[in-house]
Amino acid sequence: MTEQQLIQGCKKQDRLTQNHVYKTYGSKVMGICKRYMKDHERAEEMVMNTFLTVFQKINQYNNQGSFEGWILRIAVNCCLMELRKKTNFKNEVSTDDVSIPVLNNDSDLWRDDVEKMLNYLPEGARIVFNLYAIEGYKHAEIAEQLGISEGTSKSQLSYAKEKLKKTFFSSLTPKAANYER
Amino acid sequence: MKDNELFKHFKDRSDSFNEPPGDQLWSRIEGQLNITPNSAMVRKGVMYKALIATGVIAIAGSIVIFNYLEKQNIEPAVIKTEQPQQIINEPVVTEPAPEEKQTVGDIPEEKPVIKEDSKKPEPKKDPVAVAAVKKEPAPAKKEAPATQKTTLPTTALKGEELKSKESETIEFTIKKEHDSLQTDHVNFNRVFSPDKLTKQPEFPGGTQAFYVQISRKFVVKQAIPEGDYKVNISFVIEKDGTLSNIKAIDDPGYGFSEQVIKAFSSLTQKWTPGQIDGRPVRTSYNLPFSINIKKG
Repeated sequence: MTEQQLIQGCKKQDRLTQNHVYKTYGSKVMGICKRYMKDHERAEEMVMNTFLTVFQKINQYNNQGSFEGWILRIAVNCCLMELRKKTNFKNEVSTDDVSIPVLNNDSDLWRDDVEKMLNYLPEGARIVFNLYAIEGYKHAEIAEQLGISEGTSKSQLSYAKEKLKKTFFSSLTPKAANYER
Repeated sequence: MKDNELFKHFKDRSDSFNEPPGDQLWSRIEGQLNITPNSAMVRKGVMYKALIATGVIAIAGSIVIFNYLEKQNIEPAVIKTEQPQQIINEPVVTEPAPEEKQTVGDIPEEKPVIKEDSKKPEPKKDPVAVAAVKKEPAPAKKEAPATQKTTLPTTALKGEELKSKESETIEFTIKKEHDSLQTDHVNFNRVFSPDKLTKQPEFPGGTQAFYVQISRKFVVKQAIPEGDYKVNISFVIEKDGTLSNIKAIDDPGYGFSEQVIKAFSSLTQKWTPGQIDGRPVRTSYNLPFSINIKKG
């Protein structure tokens, strides 16, 4: 089915089409929800919320941008709405934390397991890093979505970058180098 | 490492999170879609139902009037003085008028048809026609409302999966509208099983220490044959670490279950509760006990 056919089918609330949309975009939606929620069960709940929103608000999709893009943005928004209730973005950033040597020498081996690496970060930093590095949001957008200031967003990102680099990529960073911010 | 190298590293591997969500989740989604249909569709549905209901009542009303007319075949003026039950001049055929003893059994049949709709449009009737009446046995009328009733659900929107209103209001009052995208459960005293937790509950000193505490309080009262006995205890670890709902599964008899449960209840030391994302929650827990009885 073409994208247009899927959209039309959804507007008619046709179950078969909706199921097809679920199967087509479900993996990527799940990927996003797992990145933000960490917990598998909560990720599933967010997937459910995402598709329910998609099917119930299909009439709000006005063909601007791709259908997939619209769906994935809804997924991110669902997760953020849930997370912003519980996450305190201000508590966690402390520059002392960054310089403490962590884990063991094997931490370099985690480099390919992005899930592990992201889960290592505290909640707020992880969310901001996800939004900035992977979703490509700007700090202004992040601040608005999360209800925080741009400054907080920037410091969370800074922290995430430093922590990740130091912990997992330290052998790639020459010791005397300036850290890019 | 440069920033954009770092970002690229993660972005390139972000697909590793992808995972097909599965059929079970789809059933849950479908279930929700069936309960809370699109508001536009609800409005259409209500409109259609109202239209059909009006039509049905009009038809039913006119049939009732028609039958009623056929029953009586005497002029109104004469009737009033001779037969008090035939109060024909009153245009109240579709309402349950108690004076009309002949038709009292039939009028209630109309009620279920009317009540099925939330709206009550004006029944269309012609009061003047009531004047000329004839007599006829009542049973003919009973069929009319019955058949009208059965057409009502089937003429509801075709191709729509809306359930009838009665079942909606009876069964599904728990979930909220998804516009607000809330996922909190309404029941705040929910008990979680350990696999749902981000942090497991713990007894200070570990499960071993717990067993030791229990065994200290455990007293064997009866004369019990030698051997190994097993009993499984299920309980709930509350948010404050106290235990509740202590139950024995696979009771081996000899008062073992009662003794173990008594030992549980007598412990003062609390557990650290299980957590989901930093929030303590009630956790269901299970511990097996193996008791060996020796003579000696």
